[in-house]
Amino acid sequence: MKDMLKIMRFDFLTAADTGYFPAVFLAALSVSGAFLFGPGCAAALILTSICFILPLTSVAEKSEFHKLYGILPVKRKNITRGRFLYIFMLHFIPEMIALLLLKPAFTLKAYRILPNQGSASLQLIENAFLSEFRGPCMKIFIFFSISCFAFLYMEFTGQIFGHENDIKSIMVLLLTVTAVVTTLTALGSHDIIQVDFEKIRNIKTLTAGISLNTLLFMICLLLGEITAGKVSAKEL
Amino acid sequence: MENILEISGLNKSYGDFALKDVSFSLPKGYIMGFVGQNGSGKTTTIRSILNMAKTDSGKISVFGLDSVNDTIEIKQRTGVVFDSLYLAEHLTAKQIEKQLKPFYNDWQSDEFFKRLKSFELPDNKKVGEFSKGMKMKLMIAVALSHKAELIILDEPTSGLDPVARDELLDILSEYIEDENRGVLFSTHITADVERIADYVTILHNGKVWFTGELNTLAESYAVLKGAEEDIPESVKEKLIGFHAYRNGFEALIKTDDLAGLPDSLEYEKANLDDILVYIAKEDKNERHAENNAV
Amino acid sequence: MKIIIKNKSELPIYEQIEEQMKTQILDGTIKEDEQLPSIRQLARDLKISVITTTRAYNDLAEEGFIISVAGKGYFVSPRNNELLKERMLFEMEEGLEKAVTSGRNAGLSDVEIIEALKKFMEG
Repeated sequence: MKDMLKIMRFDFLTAADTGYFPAVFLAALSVSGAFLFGPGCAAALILTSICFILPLTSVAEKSEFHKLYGILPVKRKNITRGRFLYIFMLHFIPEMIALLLLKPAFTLKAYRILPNQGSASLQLIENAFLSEFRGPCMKIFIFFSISCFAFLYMEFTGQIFGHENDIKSIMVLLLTVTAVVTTLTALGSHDIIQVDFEKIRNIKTLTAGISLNTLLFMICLLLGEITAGKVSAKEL
Repeated sequence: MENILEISGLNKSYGDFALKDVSFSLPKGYIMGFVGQNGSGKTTTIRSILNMAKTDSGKISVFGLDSVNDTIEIKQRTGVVFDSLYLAEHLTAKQIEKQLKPFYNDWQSDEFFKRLKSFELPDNKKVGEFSKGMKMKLMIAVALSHKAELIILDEPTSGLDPVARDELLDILSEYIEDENRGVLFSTHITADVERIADYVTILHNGKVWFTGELNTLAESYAVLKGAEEDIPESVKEKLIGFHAYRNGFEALIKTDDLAGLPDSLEYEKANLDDILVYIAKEDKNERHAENNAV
Repeated sequence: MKIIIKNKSELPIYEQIEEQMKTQILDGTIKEDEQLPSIRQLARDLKISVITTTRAYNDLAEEGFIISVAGKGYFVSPRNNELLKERMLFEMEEGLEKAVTSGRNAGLSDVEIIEALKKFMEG
């Protein structure tokens, strides 16, 4: 809705000043990495999202934005939903750009301008450029998923439990995920549950990409709705 | 006379504190001063008007619209100034204008920049570096730039020097020249209210102690002084905030009750400060009486 | 028209305005038929409440010093207005009474007082 777009723009303008510089720097690094050291480096482009998300929490607190949200003619729920969409978009856009960079990176084979051609390290680099699209694509998708999920999760716990507990929340999440994955793998390798690792490994790139993006979008909407509901009941 | 703001039967309790049956109205074209001690409920009332706080019961209407269901439309037409800045401190006024503009149907950029100029606010300096007075004027500039018909100010002059306070009064005076607008401002600084407010609402312990024309209030109370022995019995209970000291006593009394008092007792017109002070003293007296009775 | 508000005065602000305007109307500083600032303009200029200036103007209109013309605003009453005349007569009588009392207290005879009055009229 229009309101949510306005909020996303608002958030971006809040973070842009602080985030612009490091974002450009990171973008330059990842793009040059993609062209010179291996197309998989393009995944790092997604890190630029951090530059435009992290400043928001500290600014909102310092500048007493809760009062502003009470004054602006926008529904509180839309303010929250907008924030979640913002986090998603700020991951989605660099993800798309990274994917678009892959073809030129592969084609250009710019690594050839690097010194020490023929050395062992350059051999590794060359291999990266000779491999398939699949590798870097999956890297990008996975990077996108992890980072996007982490920020959505932090926003979710932050708004409901307070942003001071962000680090704790992430720790809890990491522990939970590790525990779950370890358990599943252990159970799987002892055939207690059927985990078809082969099938997972052979999943088509495009399918993986679309499923992950859709999944994260769903998570974004879901967490956004839950948070909006909880937060709008709170007093400003 | 149409009311730009109407509050009736507002009740809200949380923790130790409660707003009890708060009712008052502000007619179009006038300024209302909203006074009371710290913790009397002024900010809570204002937050309720803006639907930033939920109420237990009561109805609030602004521009004839419901404060809960129509809060978005109300906010399009209302400007708000708080005692501290609610805008991004690391941004400049120019950048902030860009941020706020899309939210308002009637945002006028030229009006905003004109105001910045007349308030002498730089448009390319981080607003976090503004002085308190400048921050207040920035909030006013924002409030005045989207054709707001009602401006609500919550302690706008706390911590401001007299010059800035005077400038604020001038701005409000100019604003109210249009009789279709209204101003509600809560403050401790009773002198500001006495100068410029048409109406006043006094909030005490969550209840409305007085609401109405300021002139009426000013003419209704006097400070009575003299020797304690000279007070007729029948008058004693009519005294508010009685305070005895070595040379005599002081108390607030309604001017209606002044008739027939002995000449040995003197009185002078009470101002808003006096009224607030004696109301508080009356509370203290009542508490002492309770404690002693127990 | 020049109005000076004294905040610390015992006199309520609207009375101060009324007194000063009356004086200036009576002594001609504010001319007859002159248009006065609107209620809100005056409030703005003096930085006081609208209700105060409204009260002042209402009182002055009631006493006949100014009149309200629908759609145009407030104007000073023309001098031949009955109420104004009456008021001015009253002021004269008050002044004369004071003059007579003061003169007598100073020990002047009635004849001397009349002489002083005549001199005043000629001068």
